[in-house]
Amino acid sequence: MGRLPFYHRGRFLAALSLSLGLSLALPGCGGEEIDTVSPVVRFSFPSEFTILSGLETVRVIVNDNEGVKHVTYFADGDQLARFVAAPYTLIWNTTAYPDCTTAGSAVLLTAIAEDLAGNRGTASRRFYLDNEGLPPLRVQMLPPVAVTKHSATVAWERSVDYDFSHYIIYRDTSTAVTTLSDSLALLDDPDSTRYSDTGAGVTPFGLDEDTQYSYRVYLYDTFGRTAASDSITTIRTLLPGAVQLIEAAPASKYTANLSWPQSNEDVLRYRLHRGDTAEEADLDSIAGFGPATLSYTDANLTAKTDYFYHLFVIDSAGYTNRFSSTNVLQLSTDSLDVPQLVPTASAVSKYSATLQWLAVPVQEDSSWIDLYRDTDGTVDNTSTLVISQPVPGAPLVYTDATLRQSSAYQFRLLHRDSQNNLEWSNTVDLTTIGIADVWNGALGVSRPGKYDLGLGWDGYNYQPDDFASYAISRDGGLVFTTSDPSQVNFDDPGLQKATTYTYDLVITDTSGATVSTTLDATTRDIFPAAITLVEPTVLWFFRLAWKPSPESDFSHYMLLRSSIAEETFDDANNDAVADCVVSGDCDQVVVILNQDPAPGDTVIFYADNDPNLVTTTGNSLPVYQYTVLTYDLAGGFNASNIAGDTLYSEPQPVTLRIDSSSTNTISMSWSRASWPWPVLEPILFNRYEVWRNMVPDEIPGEPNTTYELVVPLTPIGNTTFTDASDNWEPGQGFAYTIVLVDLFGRIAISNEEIGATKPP
Amino acid sequence: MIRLGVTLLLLAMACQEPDQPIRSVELSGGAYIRINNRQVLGDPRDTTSLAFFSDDVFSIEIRAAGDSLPASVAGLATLFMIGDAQDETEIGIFRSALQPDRILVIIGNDWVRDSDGSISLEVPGCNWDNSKVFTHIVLTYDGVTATVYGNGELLAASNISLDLEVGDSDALIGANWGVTNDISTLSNFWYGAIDEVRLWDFDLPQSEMQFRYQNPDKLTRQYSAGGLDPIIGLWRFNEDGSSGDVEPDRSGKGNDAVLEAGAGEIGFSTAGP
Repeated sequence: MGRLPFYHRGRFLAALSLSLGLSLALPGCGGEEIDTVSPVVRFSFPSEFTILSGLETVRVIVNDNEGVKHVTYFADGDQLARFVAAPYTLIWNTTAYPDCTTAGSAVLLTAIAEDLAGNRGTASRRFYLDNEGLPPLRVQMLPPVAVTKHSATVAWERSVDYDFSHYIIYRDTSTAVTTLSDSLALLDDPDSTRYSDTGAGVTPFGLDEDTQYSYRVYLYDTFGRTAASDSITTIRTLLPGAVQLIEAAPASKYTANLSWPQSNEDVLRYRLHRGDTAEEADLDSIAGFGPATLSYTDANLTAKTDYFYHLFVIDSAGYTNRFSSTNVLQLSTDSLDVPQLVPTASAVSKYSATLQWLAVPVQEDSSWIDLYRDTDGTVDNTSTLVISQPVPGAPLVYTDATLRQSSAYQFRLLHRDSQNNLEWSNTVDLTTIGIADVWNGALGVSRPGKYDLGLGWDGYNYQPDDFASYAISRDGGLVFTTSDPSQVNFDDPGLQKATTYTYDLVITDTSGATVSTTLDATTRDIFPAAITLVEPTVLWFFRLAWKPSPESDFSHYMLLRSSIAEETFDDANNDAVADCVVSGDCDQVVVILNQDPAPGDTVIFYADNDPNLVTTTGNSLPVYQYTVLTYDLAGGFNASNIAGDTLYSEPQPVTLRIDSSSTNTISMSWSRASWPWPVLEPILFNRYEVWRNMVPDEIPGEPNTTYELVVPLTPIGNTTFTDASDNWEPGQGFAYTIVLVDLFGRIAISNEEIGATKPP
Repeated sequence: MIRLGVTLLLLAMACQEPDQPIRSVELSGGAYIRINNRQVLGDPRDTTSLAFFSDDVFSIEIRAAGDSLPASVAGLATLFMIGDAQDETEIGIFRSALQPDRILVIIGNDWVRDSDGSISLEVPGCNWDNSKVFTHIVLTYDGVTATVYGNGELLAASNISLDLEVGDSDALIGANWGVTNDISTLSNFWYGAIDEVRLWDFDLPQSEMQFRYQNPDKLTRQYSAGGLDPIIGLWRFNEDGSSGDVEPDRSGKGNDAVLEAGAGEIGFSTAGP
């Protein structure tokens, strides 16, 4: 079964849906019907049997229910024209038909309109034609077909005139072409609508180049009447075409290499021009060549310069191509190679620096490398010229040994050639090292003494040798100098013990440069004794012990005691001890001579039972401080550590414990009061005090507290107590504290404990 | 009519406050909870009753919050106690009236002491004067050593060798017997909330204390067959009630308690962990 037309498919589906009892909504179905209505066409102008001539306008009116596809005109069966859009108006050239002016000879003009569905409507009218005696209708000149340097081909519309006779072509160099202009040809075939003008007789080569020519066709009929084309074709003959220059090889400093392709023109010769810009590339002619030459080497140029070339083609007629700045070859000559210093010097000493650079290519001409040096930051040809050497062959490294130490220098290479082209290298900055760089040793104490100091230092060994002197000053005063570089020790006598001196070592080289270092060195003090024991004994004397001094030139000990607040020997530098000796504000207890302490004397004991020592002063406990001065044979001394104590110790708090409770009692106990001397305890003890409080964390006896004294208790062995009351709440809690009071009224407060009656 | 009813129901639901579960009972000085001792004197010892205390091995676990005490109260406030046949306190756990971060614990006539010998035991994180701060207290006794824990930390361990005898004394939460089982002699009332009280007839190990402190709703660290057999009493106070109502023993042992307003008031609160 073949494919159904669309409208058939719609019907088929509609029928199918009906046969199935279904209601289908198919787009296009149902509303689409075959257009069977033909368009209606009728002539509106001119009226039938009108006598027509020349170009006539024929109008029709066309109507259709769906739309008109096109309208086609026929004259006696020959199709004249077809129009696909309104107004379908025909401009009818009636000259194409023989005249018909007698009855029954009229031409039948038919208009057939076809609608979109292919239905057709037709209308016809008959007309008489009468053109005899009228000039033929003009033909239009068409655009030129071809133009060369020496020829041109022109074309025009074909004439349809029934009485056509011939065409005549005229040419002129102005646009006013008439029958007085140059007559080129007579063409009696109406279909000959093209003519090639080779310019015969104009020049030996044909038409002249780059010249304007205008053409016009005159039409003649068999009655001898003529009509000139109402348009003129104007052309301009051509010039020879240009060729494109090519840079055959990269330009060197002084030479450019040019080439070009063979021209298609009848080349008589080439002429090469060169300028400084693209627009001026046609100014200077630099060379001419025969047609067989296709390359050129332009020498003696300037390095690092832009050049613009243009090649003119000259043909046999002597014409050249037209210049255009876009048809220019631009090239640049090479520059002198830039020299390059290695960024850092390979060796820098106090007085020299070694520089290296990369090799530069050999030039077309001679060139040289110059090494310049400066110190002001800028290196140019006003700087110091260090060396100058030709390229190639010279070494690529140089040591400049004329420098000063600790100085900044800048080096730079200059590459120059025979035409004095110049190229500078990068700049290398360097600083020569100084004496401080080559000597960073130290000054030290080789032997610390009590009254002298041995000093030593690192020697100055720079090569090449430029040593001048060592000089040592102490606290600003020169104490030593030598020009012997090997003497690196010095013993400074006559100093004070335990004293800090500032030494400066200055090293000078032969150029006068110096390097120095400073040392604070301290003489040692007399080795002191060390108190190891200060023990109060039964409230009236102290037992003391100290480790002896190991001082070799020992003379004697002096034991000092102080009970004066201002002289408690607590100065870290023991200045207070010295002040004490000088001012007499402390007590000199004893001087112990011991010229030669035996090795076994590891501890020296002494009992200070001065009857003036007191246990207490009022409510305070005097503190006695002791120090031992060690004297040497030179009369100097040094103090030991300071140690001291009171003859009496504060009472120590007892420890309270809640033992048990009943519904109305709280029982407690505490530790027994004690002192270092048990035999004296009954004397030193005064009482215990039981304190009770409803508020925890207060201190008995302090202001604004609610602690209350429950009971004082004696003797010292009575360390239990049961607090009781019938008025307490069940489970009532209290804070308790025991206060120990001694013979002197001094107190010690125990821990606070929470007690509570047992709930019933 | 039906449509109107549904609308009113929806409105009522929309306006209703979300329910907060009750977590604790509040006692305001004078109110207390009495746990009935089912032991009948002269009968063989019923070890599912409070008489299990007399076997000398027990643990008491309490989670409670205090409140500021009236100025007139100077004595201890009772968390839990049980008396004896001599009308004395046999076991008691109290808060200190003097120090809001301390408790005192007595077994027989002996106070439990800390390592310094003090009978007032400091509980870390405790503040009995703040009604929002709940404190977890555990007292264990193995017949020789009484050990007290507070908020998971060991507070005290004292050697107290006693042959405990609680007789037919009812236990009290929030008050203390003057004469055993005589409500006219009650004293040392609690001010604050009791979240939960548990009684065990074995001494809970120290290794569980942090777990118990941090998991208020869990009775054991992990399930084991018979793991809950030793629990003798469990009162959670998670249901509303009033004076005279029974607070059932959730351990299944039948040691139900009774809420007693006494001279104070009983209330229930959503406070508690």
